[in-house]
Amino acid sequence: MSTLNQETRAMLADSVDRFIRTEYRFEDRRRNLQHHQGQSPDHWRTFVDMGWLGIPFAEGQGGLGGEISDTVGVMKGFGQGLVTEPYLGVVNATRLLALAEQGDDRQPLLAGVLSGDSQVIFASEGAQGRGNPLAVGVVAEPDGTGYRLSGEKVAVPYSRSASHVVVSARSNGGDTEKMGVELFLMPLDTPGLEITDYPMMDGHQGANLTFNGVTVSHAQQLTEPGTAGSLVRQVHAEGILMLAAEAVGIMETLVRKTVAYTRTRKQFGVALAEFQVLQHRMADMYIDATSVANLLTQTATRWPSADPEQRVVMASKLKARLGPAARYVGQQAVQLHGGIGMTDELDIGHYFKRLTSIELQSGNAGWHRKWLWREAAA
Amino acid sequence: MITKDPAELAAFRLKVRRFIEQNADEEVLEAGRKTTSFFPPFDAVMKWHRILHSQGWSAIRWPEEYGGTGWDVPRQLIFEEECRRAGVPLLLPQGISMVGPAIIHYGTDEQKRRHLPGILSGKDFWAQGYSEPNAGSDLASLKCRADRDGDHYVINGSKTWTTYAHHANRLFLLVRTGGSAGKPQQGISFFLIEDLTNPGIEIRPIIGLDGVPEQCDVFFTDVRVPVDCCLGEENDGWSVAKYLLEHERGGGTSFATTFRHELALIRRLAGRTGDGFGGVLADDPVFQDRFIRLSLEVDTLEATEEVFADMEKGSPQSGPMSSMIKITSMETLQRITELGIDVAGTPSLALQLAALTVGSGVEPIGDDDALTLMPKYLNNRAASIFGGSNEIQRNIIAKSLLR
Repeated sequence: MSTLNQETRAMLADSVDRFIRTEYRFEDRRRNLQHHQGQSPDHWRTFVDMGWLGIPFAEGQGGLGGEISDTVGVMKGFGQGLVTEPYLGVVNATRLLALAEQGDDRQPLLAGVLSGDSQVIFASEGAQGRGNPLAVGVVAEPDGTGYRLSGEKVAVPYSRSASHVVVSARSNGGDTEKMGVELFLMPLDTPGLEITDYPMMDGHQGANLTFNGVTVSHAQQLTEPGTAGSLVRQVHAEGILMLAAEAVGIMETLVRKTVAYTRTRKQFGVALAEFQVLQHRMADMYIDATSVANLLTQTATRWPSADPEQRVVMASKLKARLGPAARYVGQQAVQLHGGIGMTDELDIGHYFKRLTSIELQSGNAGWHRKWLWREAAA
Repeated sequence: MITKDPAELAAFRLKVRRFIEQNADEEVLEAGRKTTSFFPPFDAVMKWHRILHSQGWSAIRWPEEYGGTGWDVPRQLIFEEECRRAGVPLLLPQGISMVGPAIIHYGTDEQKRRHLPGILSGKDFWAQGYSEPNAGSDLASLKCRADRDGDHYVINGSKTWTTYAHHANRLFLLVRTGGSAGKPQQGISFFLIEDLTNPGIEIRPIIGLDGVPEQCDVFFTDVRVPVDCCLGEENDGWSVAKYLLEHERGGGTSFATTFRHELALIRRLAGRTGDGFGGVLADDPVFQDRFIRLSLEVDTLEATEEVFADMEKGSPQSGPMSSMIKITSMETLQRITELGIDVAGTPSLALQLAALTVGSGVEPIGDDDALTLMPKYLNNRAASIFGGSNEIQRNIIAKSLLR
């Protein structure tokens, strides 16, 4: 696969921008949360029709034939619009299907997802895994010709319309080992699979999946036994790249909105923007937001020509740098807005909450720093 | 008179512990566990207030003649330690720690007779009407007006960030009674409003980042109140407000005790949470370093609180010192709540309003100890905003240094 040309990428970013401004304004978003739990079938149809869903999939499969790095513009827009639709989760899971080597249901489901008729999600994070894609939290015990799965997945990016889930499980080895990881594709109504879904504090839908001795066959396995580790890590890295783009969209929005607010809000007879301490605070917000934006640009540019190992390291660095920036920019945006920034009524608090959520997902900054020291500092 | 005899204090501690054990029921303890802000779940904390009152212990810092315990500082601290140890909710501060002391200090005999018993017993709950949409950090610029009309004032305007006004039956209020000449602090009066059922008063709850209504907007349209509702002199309400703020800031609850319990909860959770590399988070040197840093911040805060407790209020040092307590306590709290969500990780992302409601019977998703950590993080972003933002507090300190 190759990257999309500049023109196509600009067109995609424009179309997302138009969608956010006309169909996904803050009030539209609020209504969508009330009526569709933030996941509207109509919006999903738009995502498919506009080609956003198909970006990182081969043309032969019904995609646009781009790279995951081509989703950066879309994700930035989704950040600006605080989009709660299950785009990221479905793209991650579908990438696993597209990159997999085997599995009976794989091809028809992939076609169904890209035509907009089906959805699939990816259950990655183990209950004690802290976002380490290899700490899968589910054990796969050989059982006849297949396996029995036991364990728990937490904070799974959930789609209420999904019919299937891709599950990572471990047949062998410890939490940091690449060998011994398996991937299975199964319907969400598989016996023994218990789903607890819930709204998350950022408006997205999440779920915990408990596997009570779920039986899976060899035909449901997406890779050769014991070899899914690389694939799982690659898609995890792709998810981070997408999350980082969303976070950049949010941080840039918060800097812009905070600057605008301090120009209009008056205390002690002058605009807040007149106070030097607040000017410096906003300068620091700008520095953080722009630093991560630049790192994102560099990462996305190098992504297509990087090998899988390099991508995992680039993504980890991006997430590690993103964490403290997201925290600072989010917190200061609330602080400079004062009490009004604490309310559900204004968008500022919702941007802050989504940033907080992004920080914790796919491994927080602390986890990634530790991983970089262990795996990549040499 | 400060008790130093260890045996006497130990006996006192035992007495407090027994009372709490025998009287704090499951509803009260659940409210303690499910407290995610400075303001515990209303019904349950008021129930606990009334239980404490039955023992004469609702106002541990009031003088005995007004129904307080008359305890010295060591006893007050022991009482609070035992409350935290048992996990009961801390009483709402608006009555006992804020307007109560102001009435004791400034009130007429009639005002004291009228208001103190209800505050003490928990029959009345007072909300605080200070901030306005355009008067936050710059509180003195408030616009809500009260015009004299015979034996009454007529109030028009609005207040915001009025905590728990939707639960309140009383309201203390800063209003502008004087002209606009002179400093903005002049011409402000401090009112005690007894009747919130007045049709001219509209109370509208505000949903916060944590998804629950805690603050309110309050609107006044031609609300008539008797002139004797004024606490202190007319147009001298700023002095009352300043006195009261000192009680709000460091003069009341010991933050250190509360924060230690929060840290203990986080440490417990870290002890059974994976580090994502096959180990346990509590063994992670980075966690340990953050934890100890925060413990030291809490120890230092306690030292400052002790020094402040012995300091004469209104002395040149006490103003900056109370600002310092506000800044350090609230920023330490915010850092503790950050550690909380960092330890809890993605499981803390589930929005669990039902499980957080006292008496709902809804089981939490995930670890019990993690249930409150995200709401605490979100709610306490306000800690550096309310009560005079931390930027304002730093101005106060800088001003006193440069004087």
